[in-house]
Amino acid sequence: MDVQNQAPHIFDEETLIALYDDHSDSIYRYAFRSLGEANLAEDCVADVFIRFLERVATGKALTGNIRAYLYRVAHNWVVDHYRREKPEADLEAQPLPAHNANPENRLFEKENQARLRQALLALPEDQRLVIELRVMEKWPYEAVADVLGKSVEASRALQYRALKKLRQSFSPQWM
Amino acid sequence: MHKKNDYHPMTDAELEGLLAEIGQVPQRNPDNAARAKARYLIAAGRCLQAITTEQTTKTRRKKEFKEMQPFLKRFSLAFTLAAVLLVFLLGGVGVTAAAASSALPGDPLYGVKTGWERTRLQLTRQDFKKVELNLAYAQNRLDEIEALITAERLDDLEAPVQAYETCILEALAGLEGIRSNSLAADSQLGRAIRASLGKYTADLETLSNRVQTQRRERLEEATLFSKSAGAYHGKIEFVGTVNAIDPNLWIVSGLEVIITASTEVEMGIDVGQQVEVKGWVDALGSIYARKIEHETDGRAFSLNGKGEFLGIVNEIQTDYWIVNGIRFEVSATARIEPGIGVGDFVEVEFVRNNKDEYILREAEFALDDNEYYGTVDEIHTEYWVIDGLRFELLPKSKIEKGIKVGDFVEVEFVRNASGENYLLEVEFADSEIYGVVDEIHTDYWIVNGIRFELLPNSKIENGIKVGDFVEVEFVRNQAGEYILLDVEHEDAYNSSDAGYGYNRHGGDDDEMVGFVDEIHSDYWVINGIRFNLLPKSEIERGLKVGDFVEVEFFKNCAGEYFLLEVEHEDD
Repeated sequence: MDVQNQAPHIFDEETLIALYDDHSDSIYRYAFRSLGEANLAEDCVADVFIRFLERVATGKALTGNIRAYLYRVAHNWVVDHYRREKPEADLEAQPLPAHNANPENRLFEKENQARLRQALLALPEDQRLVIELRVMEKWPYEAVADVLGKSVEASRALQYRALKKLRQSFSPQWM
Repeated sequence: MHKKNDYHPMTDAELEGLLAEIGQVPQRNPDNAARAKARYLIAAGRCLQAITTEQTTKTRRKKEFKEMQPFLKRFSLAFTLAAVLLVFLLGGVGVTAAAASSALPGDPLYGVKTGWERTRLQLTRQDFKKVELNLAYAQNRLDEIEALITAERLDDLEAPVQAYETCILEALAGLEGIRSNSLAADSQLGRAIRASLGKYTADLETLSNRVQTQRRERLEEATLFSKSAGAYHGKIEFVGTVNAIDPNLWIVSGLEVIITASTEVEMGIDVGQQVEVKGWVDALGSIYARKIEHETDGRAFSLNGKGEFLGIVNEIQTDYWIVNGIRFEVSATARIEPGIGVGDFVEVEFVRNNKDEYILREAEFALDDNEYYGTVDEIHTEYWVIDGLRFELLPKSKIEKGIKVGDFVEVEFVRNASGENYLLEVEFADSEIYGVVDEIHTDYWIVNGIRFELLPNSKIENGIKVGDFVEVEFVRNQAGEYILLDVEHEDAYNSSDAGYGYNRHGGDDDEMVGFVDEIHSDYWVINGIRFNLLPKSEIERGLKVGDFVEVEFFKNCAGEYFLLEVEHEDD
């Protein structure tokens, strides 16, 4: 169900439920990828939707795309979390999927994954979102462009720039 | 070799592969997801009610209201029903919407506003965040106090003042809870609380200056409360005889106990009776009561003869100490734990001589012993560094033989008022824990929230599934990862020394009888105590709210109760 650009006064039961059903899992996945911990990701989802409801209840207009709004709140939550916690401790504690039983390789994998997570968090919001939605969630460009409020071409360009920045995070000057 | 020579530019395929790896998300726990959705629905229902209320207020006289009412009523009713059902199913999650952030006590929307705050607290599982929320809500109450004074609504001041103090107490209680788990978070939060209270104190002083009536006294009390809470040094509990009762100050066994608006005092206490005082002590040794209740166990505190005494060190001289305002003579034979300084919370053992002097026999840190797990970074003759934290050694520090840098250890320690940690005991950390399996993956398991990496030779008993209570044997490697060696079912429910939690130490099996207050899918409330259900909790059929039952339970290290068995108590 499309719940975009709705003003607070027309949020109703059906809309609120549909909105949660449509987005809670993807927000959870985003939070898990960023945080690496299921309980934290659930906390993030709960806070994101409570903040959304607070916004609705206080009557402040929600402009733009709600899905983008939810991702933005989730992103702020994650950044806030890392600001509060010691980043190195968090990154090390994340239960990252490990496929290689060789300890040396696993360590290398984890380092790369941790570096990539940090690089993702450092991306500008629209670039991070395009990576999240297009590369990880495998959305079509049209849907990504819709969320971003940009043309398909502009979204492709954003993805290109984002991937370039991510690759740069693995270049020697960053290592 | 130069590092640059090792560098190979990452290709798009490699990067996308890496992105795909970190993009993998384990399936969301369906129970957690369902619970989260239920909470959202309740909050959404309240949100719509809030909008309804607000719109009702704004458009009461408008013609459109009549047209909207059935529409809103329908959703409001639907959500209320959902809320009631889900509150019952999910454990009484009381959720209220925040509709009017500017509402003041006495305003129609004030309950909605504070309800939202409660919602946030209830939905927040992280303790540090609860502390932060309580501090934020304390600020909200101060804002309300200011607005009420501006509006000259002084009769409404009591509620926000009391609520303000409750928020502070909740924040302090949260800090206590965090203390045992995370030192870094503790000191960070401690600083945050002190900074906030410093600001609140200044705000309250400014506000009380604006009030010239008798209400000013109440604001001054709150100011005093903030000052004392800001100087929070530790909790205190003692039993004594009530010598005098004044609305703001009690004397209990000669000690002055300050009563604040938030102090809970059991009804019917009179001078001469034995009471138990629970509260906290500030840096000057003043005792602030959180709770005073009848004491019937005969654990009387007495300054006659000999005894023990808990308090804050006010002064240290070579021949005497002053603790909580009481002078203790120090003899050459007195045993005094090194490291104690002014401001420390101590336990004093003393005798009283025929000149009515108190002679100090022994003084030691009375702070709760803290436990800490970590990897040894440095070993020195005077101190150790464990996971980046420095622990001073004491003559009585017990150190298990063979510990070396890199070992994973368990540390018992106390911390003094200056924030220095004193090591009481360090030993190799237990290599086994008991707990509930949270997640099972091909390369790792999560038990009690701890991730255990699997190795090809990890032994796993057949048939273990998520929710089972298991014993895990593990080692910790240099990278700090837990490596699972062996996991098997543990019939801990019949084990007298098994704790349900972090490890086998600290658990207590027990029985009690009482009346069932509430029944939920994941916990019961019996005699006001919450008992969490376990997958294997045995519950006699047909039990209902109001029944008199016998409960077998145990309490884990975190102080939570877990229900093992509940049945009708026929006697």
